[in-house]
Amino acid sequence: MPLHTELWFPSPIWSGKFFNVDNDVLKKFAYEQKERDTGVAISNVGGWQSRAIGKGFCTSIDQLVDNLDREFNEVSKQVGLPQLEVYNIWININPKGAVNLTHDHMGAVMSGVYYVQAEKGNGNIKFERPDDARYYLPTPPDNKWTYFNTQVCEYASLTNAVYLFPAWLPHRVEQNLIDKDRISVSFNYGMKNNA
Amino acid sequence: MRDEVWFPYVIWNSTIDDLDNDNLKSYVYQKVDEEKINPPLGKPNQPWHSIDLIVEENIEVKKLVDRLNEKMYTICEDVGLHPVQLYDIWANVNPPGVSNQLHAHIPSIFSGVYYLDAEQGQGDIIFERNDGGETCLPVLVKEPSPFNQKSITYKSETDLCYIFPGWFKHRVTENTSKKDRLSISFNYGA
Repeated sequence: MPLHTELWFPSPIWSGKFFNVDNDVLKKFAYEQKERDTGVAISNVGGWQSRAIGKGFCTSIDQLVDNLDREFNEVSKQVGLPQLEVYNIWININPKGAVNLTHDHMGAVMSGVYYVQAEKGNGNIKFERPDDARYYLPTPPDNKWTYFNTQVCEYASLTNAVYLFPAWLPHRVEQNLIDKDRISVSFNYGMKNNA
Repeated sequence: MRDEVWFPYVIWNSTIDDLDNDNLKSYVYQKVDEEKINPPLGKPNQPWHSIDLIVEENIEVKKLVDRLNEKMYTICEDVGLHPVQLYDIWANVNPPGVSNQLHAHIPSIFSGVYYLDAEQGQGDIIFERNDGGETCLPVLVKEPSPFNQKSITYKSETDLCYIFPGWFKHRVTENTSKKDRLSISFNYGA
């Protein structure tokens, strides 16, 4: 009998682009916040991270959340989860030299990032495998990495791009190597109280 | 949105139905008799497993390894790894009342099991996720999916063969029948 292959407990990453968020408004808001608040230090080294932004403070973030609500609704259906709601959302500004160390978003179910201003050299996001396979897997033939044998997968940070991923998936942001700030908005989604 | 799947735990399953399981069964019980230093068969709550089997010692074990080698070659091709080789292979006897605790097969790349005498109620194999999802996912989900489960159960049944990554933690539930559950487990590595 032929082999039947079944994939369990995968780490999906959803990617897309939002073109209806006014990045200029969001960028202006981001720098205003940075001016008036020192922010928080969590995974960011050399970069600025805002406190959680509430609804109604920035029209562009409200628009972003509308988009995310719609996308997470679809994603939840796809993977068999109850409806999710936004837990928190925050802004990141990484100037040249800044990085984000490996971290996850424990406490949430899904997380993600939207790029307000980002381009090549600004620091891609790298997802690390969350299981113990790194202790077992050898280097593949010709360094051809696959969904199964790789230890890390990389996604480009580009303006308007959005990535959604499981909150427990460890990830880091590479160093910003260029003179332009990398501006992004990160968010956590979790179970609705009444779901 | 486009979705891409990374780092899944994979289980390959198939049937190997051209082995003489009666021959294998006799061979396993012969090993039980030989290996007096291991816990004796039938001791409550103690699964028995042999020391490494010598593949050439029994024609059916040799045939099983030949089948496994073919499957491993296909699997390595599919997932992009160099061909692997057999590290070790051993027999298991789970008498009534026993189970196997949660464990992984460090440091093998692939591990697996072939059931030479097993049926419903003799102990299923349960694989448990260990990627952090078990702590973040909601306790109750209405529609089970490969994404939202915290464990997955596979039945043990004669002739079935499961192959899985060596790091995939698993356990075997209690044998609630009145007869032994016999299987052969194996590890493959670089």
